[in-house]
Amino acid sequence: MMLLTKKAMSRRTVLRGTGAAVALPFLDAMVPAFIPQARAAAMLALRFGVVYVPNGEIMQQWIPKTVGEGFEFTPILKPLEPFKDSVVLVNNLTRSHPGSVIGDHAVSAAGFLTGVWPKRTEAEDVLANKTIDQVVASKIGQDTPLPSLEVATEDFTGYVGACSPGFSCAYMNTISWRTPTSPLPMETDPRTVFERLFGQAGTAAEREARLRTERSILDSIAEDAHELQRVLGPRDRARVGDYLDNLREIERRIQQSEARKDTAEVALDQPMGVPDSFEEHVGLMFDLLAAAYQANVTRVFTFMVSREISQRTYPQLGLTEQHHSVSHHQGNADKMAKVAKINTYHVQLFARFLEKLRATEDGPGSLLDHSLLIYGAGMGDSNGHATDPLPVALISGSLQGHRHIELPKRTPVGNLWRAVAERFDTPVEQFGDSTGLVDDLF
Amino acid sequence: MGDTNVHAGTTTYRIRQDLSQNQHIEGLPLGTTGGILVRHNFPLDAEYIFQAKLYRTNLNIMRGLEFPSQVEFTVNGQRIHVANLGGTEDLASLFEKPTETGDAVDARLRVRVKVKAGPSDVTAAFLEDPKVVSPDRLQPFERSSADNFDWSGWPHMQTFSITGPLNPTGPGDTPSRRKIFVCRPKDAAAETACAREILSSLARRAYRQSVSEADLQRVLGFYESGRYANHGDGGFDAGIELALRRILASPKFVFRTEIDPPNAAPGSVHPISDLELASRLAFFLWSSIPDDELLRLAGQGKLKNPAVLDAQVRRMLADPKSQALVTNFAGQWLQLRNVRNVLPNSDEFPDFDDNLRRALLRETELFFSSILREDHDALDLITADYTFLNERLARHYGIAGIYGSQFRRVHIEDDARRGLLGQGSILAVTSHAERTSPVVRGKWIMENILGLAVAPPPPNVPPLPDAKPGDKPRTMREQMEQHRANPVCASCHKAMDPLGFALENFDAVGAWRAQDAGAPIDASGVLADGTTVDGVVGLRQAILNRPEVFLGTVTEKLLTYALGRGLDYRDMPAVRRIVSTAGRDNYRFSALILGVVHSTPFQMRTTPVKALETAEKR
Repeated sequence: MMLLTKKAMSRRTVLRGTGAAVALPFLDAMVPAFIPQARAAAMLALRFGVVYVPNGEIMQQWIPKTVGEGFEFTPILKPLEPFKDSVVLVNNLTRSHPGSVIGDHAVSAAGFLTGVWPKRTEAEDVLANKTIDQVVASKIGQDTPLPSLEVATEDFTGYVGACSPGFSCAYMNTISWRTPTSPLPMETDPRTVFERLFGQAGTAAEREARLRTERSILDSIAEDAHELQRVLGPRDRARVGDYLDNLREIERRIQQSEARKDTAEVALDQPMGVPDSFEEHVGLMFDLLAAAYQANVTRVFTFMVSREISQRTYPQLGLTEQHHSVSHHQGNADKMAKVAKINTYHVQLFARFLEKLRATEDGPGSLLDHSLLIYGAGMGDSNGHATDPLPVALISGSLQGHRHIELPKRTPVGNLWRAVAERFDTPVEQFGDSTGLVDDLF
Repeated sequence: MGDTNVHAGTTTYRIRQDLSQNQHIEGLPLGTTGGILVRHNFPLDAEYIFQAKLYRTNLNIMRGLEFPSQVEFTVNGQRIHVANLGGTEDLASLFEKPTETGDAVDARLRVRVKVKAGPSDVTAAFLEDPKVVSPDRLQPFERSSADNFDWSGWPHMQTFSITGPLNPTGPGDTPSRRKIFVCRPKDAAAETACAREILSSLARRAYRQSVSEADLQRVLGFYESGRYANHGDGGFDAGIELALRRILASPKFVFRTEIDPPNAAPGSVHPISDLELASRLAFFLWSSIPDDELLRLAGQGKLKNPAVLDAQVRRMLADPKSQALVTNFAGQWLQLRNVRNVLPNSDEFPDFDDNLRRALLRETELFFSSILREDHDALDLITADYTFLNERLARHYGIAGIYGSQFRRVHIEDDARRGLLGQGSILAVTSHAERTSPVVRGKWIMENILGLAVAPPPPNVPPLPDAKPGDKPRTMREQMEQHRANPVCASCHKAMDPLGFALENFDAVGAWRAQDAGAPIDASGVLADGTTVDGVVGLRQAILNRPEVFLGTVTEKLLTYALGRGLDYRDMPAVRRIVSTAGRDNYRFSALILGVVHSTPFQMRTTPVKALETAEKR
């Protein structure tokens, strides 16, 4: 007997079809909150998340006056004060750069989590570095349905050519890179995010019925496969074996979701699409990320709250200026105040997310206790596209918080990512242009 | 399948950024420019949300709001929505708050309407408006959008998405339901018999073999549990749907299997079964599973009758499903699949756009299709004095008098453009982003026209050095001479390069040129067999001087495609026999295909000696 490789439909296609059908529909229109005692110890693993904001910050209103413990919260960071025991500020980090300001906005997004200055090109031959979130995901993302989740609010998928002079749009459209040559697209539609996280909606009964059916189809297919394997040669047997392995993987995921059946409910409707207002959009994304953490669908996310060179206006803050334009403030106090207002607003939106995490029980503690979040940007003061100091805050209930760490001037951001990698038990010798490792953090 | 409980989903279609949208796109309603045509499968009679989004620059500024324009959506030719955008008000608002204005305009490009189930043609495009012109260029490029910074000029559609079904009213009457439900039970008592009829025929087609009672029972089990789900209330359709899901997930559907006769000695050769032959035919000519007629003939043991087989092959070639042979065989052999990856450097080729990219592919597909359907001499692939053009492609080739987006057959006056070697698709996929590559073109000709294997280059070959600022520009030929200087390189390049040089009059996107880097093109060379050629016309003649070489190559490629495996020396007598037999019928394409179908490798198979080793050697 012989198997031919050319077939009507590839195995992958069919499996994807099957996979889609069994894509973990364990959360329905009512996403569950966990009953604490039902959780396995594995669920307490530390999560990792990065929240990125564009166009730098007004650093005078970011950096606290004093170094060390018990610093006073500056205007931009004020919304984080309620979480002060979970906040560590790391000052004097710099993004790698060869001294030019060409394409700085693209390089800010591409350089932040990669720790490198990406290759200058407007074409497809992009080259950066595997980002810290992906380093962490390859360690802790493997036993969740999604290794990591990348989200944003502005859809520039598929843009070719330069988005910033000299640099391909690929550099600006994401902050996450799976490998040095594969930027990960960021999803902007909350509905799609929901479907990726939780599959199709439905009532609890529908969900259970679906699981049962899918389980029985898989069992029955295995019969066919074993029947075939009996008459196959070794090589072909291996092929059908692969197929069975894939089926088992799907089955494992179904079991995982069945194990979660005893989860209670939280109200989160399946979103219909991209909301009209920015605030709602960001809020919905944060809600989905919190639900993803809570349900342990993924433990790693990156969220680009807005894109570099964003020209969004903020009428809700009483501002008519466009963000990027006004961020070139030329030292004008009035303009700087306006930028700081936008900076503060972003932190406020983030703080609502923190509040949600803190309010969500996660075993002995809260989700905030079991998450390590980075809030920051790849640009310091945007007036001159400063590469340092970068605004970077770490937030986690597991931290010894309310500290402001002052590093030596121009410490490569890769040094921080090395420390983070070590925290997640996946140490690396070198991260981008790192010269060492930020210690005393964890 | 018509399950009204399916949840709404969103399908998003993307438009390539370099599609010029200031002109009519083939297939879209007349009187429109730009936009997109999609064949969308609507799962139910229900409401659907249609949403187009327009292109925005890197600063999130929507392009093309300077002048008023309109966007129209249609379903099966019926207008379902018209939206106004652009003009003074939108422009003023754009300057003030670009992101929000863009969002507001996109919101106008959204509509929710009822659509009947089944596949439908959906379009979204701009209504033609002569007022919208590029304000900043006297002589615009062909490509209507230059970069990610320019917010002026024509609006461009970026994505088009369809969300649904919402508020479904029923499964509707779709072609797939008509095919599946070959019977309808009159009452509950008739249900099981009807389910059996439907599912045994579906399983037979999906598994491409006779279905055992055990197979059928397994599938019927799923019918039952679907039918009697929800406390016995699932319904007949739900039962069939569940059983169909079971069939399509089976490895018997997913894998193509051929079974050796019991006790066949390893290494022995035996004819494949009639059903296996039906499968081979269907995957070869249709890239699909056999239809009822093939399965019926195979079941009756008639398919191997030469007259029946010939008639079936001709029937299959005449069926629209044989378009798969054009797309898949020509796509793989001629590397047409790479056309969509062609991304020339936009500084060197500012006119290149997706309209041209699509046209290049379409030309060669239509051309190949005409050779197949009109049953030409296979050598016409090299020599034909006709091709298929639309306005965009004709302008690219410098051919006057062709207007409009639709393709038509055109007689070729200029010998240079005859046959595959004059077609931009092939010339572009064998070029680099900024220049031609005589090496890649030479290799392509050796492998795909002359059927010669090209050894990979030795390791550690440095790329051609980039010109330094201030250097005198060097022609491609001057750069390539470096290959000749080094004897290691020359051993292969002296065969490859002259073939490629003969095509040097075609630039990296297949346009004609007389000069390169300021010097006249030198397209002359000496082929490996000593023939001197100068340019594409001479090269074509050199190929025709030994027609059996090209015909043998086409045959090898066809046989490889038909068998789904690489050929080796044991297959070569069959290849030669196919070519010589086809010669009695003027090398008609159908004669080559019939030759393949009747050949020993297609009709027989060898029982593996040791399955593992044999498979790996291949």
